[in-house]
Amino acid sequence: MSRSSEVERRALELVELMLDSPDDEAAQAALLSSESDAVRARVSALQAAMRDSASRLPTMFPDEAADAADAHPPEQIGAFRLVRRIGVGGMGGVWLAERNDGLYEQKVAVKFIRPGLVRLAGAAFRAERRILARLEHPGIARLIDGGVTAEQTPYLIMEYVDGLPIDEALHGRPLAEQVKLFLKAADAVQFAHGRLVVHADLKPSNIFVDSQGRVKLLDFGIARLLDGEAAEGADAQPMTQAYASPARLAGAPPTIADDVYALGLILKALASGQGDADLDAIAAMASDADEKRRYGSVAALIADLDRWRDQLPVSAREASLAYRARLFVRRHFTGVALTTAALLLLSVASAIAVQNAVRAERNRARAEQRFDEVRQLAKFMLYDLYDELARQPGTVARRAEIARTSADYLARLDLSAEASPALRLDAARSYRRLAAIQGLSGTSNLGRPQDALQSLARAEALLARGDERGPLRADFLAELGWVHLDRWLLQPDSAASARENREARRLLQAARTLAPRSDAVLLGLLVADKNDAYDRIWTMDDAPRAATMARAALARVTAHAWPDALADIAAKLRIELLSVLGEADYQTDDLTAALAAYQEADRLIDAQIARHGPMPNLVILKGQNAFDLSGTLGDMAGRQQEALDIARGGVAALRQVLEQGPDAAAEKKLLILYGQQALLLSDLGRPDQALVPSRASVALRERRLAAAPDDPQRMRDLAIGLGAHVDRLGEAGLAAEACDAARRAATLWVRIKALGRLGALDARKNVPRSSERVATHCGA
Amino acid sequence: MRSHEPVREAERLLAQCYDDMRRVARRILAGESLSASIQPTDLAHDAAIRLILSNDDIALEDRGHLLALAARTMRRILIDEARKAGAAKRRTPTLMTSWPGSPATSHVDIGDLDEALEALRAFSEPHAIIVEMRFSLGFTVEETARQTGIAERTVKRRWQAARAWLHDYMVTGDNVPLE
Repeated sequence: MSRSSEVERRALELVELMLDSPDDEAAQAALLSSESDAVRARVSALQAAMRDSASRLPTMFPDEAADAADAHPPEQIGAFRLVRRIGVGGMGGVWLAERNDGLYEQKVAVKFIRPGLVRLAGAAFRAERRILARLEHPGIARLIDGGVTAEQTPYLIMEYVDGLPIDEALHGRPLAEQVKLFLKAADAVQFAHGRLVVHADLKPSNIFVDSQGRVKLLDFGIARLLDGEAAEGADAQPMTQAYASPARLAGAPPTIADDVYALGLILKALASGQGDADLDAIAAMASDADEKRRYGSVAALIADLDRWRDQLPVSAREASLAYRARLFVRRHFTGVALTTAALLLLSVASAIAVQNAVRAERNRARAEQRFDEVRQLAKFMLYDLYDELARQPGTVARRAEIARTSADYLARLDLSAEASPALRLDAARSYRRLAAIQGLSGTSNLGRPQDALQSLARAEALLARGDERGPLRADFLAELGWVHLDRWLLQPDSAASARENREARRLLQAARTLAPRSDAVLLGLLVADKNDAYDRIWTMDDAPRAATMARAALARVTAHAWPDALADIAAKLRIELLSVLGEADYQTDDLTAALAAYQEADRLIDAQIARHGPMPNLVILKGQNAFDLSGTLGDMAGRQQEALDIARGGVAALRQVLEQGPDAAAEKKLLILYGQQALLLSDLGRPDQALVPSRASVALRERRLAAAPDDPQRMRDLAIGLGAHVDRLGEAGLAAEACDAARRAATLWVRIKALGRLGALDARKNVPRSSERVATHCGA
Repeated sequence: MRSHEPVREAERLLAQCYDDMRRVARRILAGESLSASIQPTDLAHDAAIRLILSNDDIALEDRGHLLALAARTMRRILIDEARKAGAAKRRTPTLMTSWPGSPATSHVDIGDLDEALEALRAFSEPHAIIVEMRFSLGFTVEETARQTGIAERTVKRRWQAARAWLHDYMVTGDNVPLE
């Protein structure tokens, strides 16, 4: 006879029930009396199996027999002897009791309902028991037992918390520790919300901290379930006026927003007089009288407090995240499958989150969880997954996809009710990452500078909104500063770049006033110094001043101890500063000093490669530096062959990166190295050989311009490449081709000038040389 | 350490899923003939990717549910793997294991166990989940209660009932003997 699902389900249910009273045959018989024969047969078979498996495979937990409490006198409840009354709850007395059955020592709190209230609030009391049964959390006082005394008084036996109310317990502790303990309480509240329970009467005397710093929520006496099982009579329960939200005072049933409000008031008391503007802002937002302007969830409040805490030098978490991401991505986990899987997971989770975010209050707790999951997943992808993929060549397009998807999700979440300033900051950072991968020079990118500008505009718009009350916070100001630093990269060699850098500096300095010890802000300011030095050379044609500036910034970035999270950015800045310094020295004809700077940069790049492996971004830096080294050596007597070898080495490394997939930054370095190779071969008296890299250089520049036809930067690249090519063609005796190329270059310079993007150095040197070339090669 | 951090929930979900799957992979592969050809880490990776790529059921109710699903996925992979590798019945992997809390080990055929668990799931998903948590993932009653949000007491009773049911099923098979 085949198993019937109805019979099996029922039999399992009954066996489970009978485990409650294993030795009470009468009770078991009563349970079975109205069951069918089939069910009874299955129950006895399962009980036999249980005895069998129990003897052969003994169970690990002893039966809990001794907790029947009915027969004891009032001074004794179950295994507990009442010691003294420790408080009066909303519904009745609370007693300290001690276990006296000799098994072990245990202190508990026994909570009774006042006899007169049984009829009125008995249901609420029972609801509390049900509610507590679903709240197993270290931050919530545990329900141990419950029942009814001989006098028919219901009681609950709870974990006893030997501590102080949170406001007293926090008094005199350092602020960071106070916030840490507050977060524990908030976590417990959020846990309850996740279980669809609203506490509804949060106040310091319901949040205890014991001597070991453990935090426990007490008294879910008027808690309410959000999924329909509302406690009858709960709305009539007394609540604590001082911590009740305006909505509650007006008689509305309790919601998540009321718990947020109460936590906000507790935080406000904690923050008051500490002089921390950020913390004050968080407390104010949590306790806003207008529910719509309050945090949408405790999770959102926690997220902001976490961010607040992260401003302290904590980097261990980042390191372990990255480590876990590496584990996650390793081996056959890499590549397309992982990216696809992550995107898929994100899109599924996000669809649910966005849907739920607009649903009714009773689904809000779930919606918040999803919301946070999506946000975390987006961050996981954007930082850990992205960083891991960045270690491998050929992943530019995939990384762009990840960055775009994550940024879009975060931006969508920002429109929902749960949005917070921290989320907005995340979304803005995503767009910055997206911009970098789309087209910021110096890092692996897709070569779409116009898209990058758009992404930066989005980041800027998000940041400018701030938290929509009061002035911008330090982290917003700093991030806006970095947006302008990014934008500087998209328009070097023109007046616009100086403007971007000025704006970046202004914002970063404002951030520094608010957060004087922030490493990220200091690093941003030093990047601005580097940009200034660079512009001194290329826009203002003032190499001597540039060298002084670069040296000063270099000294500062080298002397500072950077936290792990910023160490790689700082290392890159050092390399870039050495590069600017080398260029400045080169421009002032101090070739020895230039060579020394480039060689130092090369050592730093090699150290980074030794640490991280040949990541594309590092190979690109190495390629740029190979050009600088080769160019300097090429101008030194008798070192052309050495220069050629370095150029060839750079070309080989970059081509290896490009073989794995397109990368505009690698291309850019490659094309200048082609030009360099051609120049060196020409100097070595091999004009025919020189034509090979020279043609490759021009072809690559043409392709790049075709991909972004309005980009003045690429016009300039091509104009310069063509200029050099004209010389190589002339040397090889190809006069007609040389004239064509010279004319094309001249036309490009005219277009650049018409766009208002002609730099001073180009105007002084390259444009006149272009005209000379036309005259020489197209002469009548 | 904060035990419940909503902000990092998803990240931890992924990471914990990964750690737990390696744990169950080690459990399953211990003393097993396939352990020479499959590394626990690889098994965990395969399971994770299968899990992530499966369209259905990814919006899970709680972590317990997710972990149970992970354990099941791993067992499936192993069975697939064994079929691919061995083909012959005699090479079907035997899962050497002990029921939690038991000092004795007994041999359970992994295919039989999977079949029994599937049958149990068809009748009662909550019971099957408890078995996955306790048996496949090796969680204690307390941990299981925390992962699923079900009271410890219920976990205990449910586990006992489910275990009896599985034991009965593995002895009598799909058919119930007539009394």
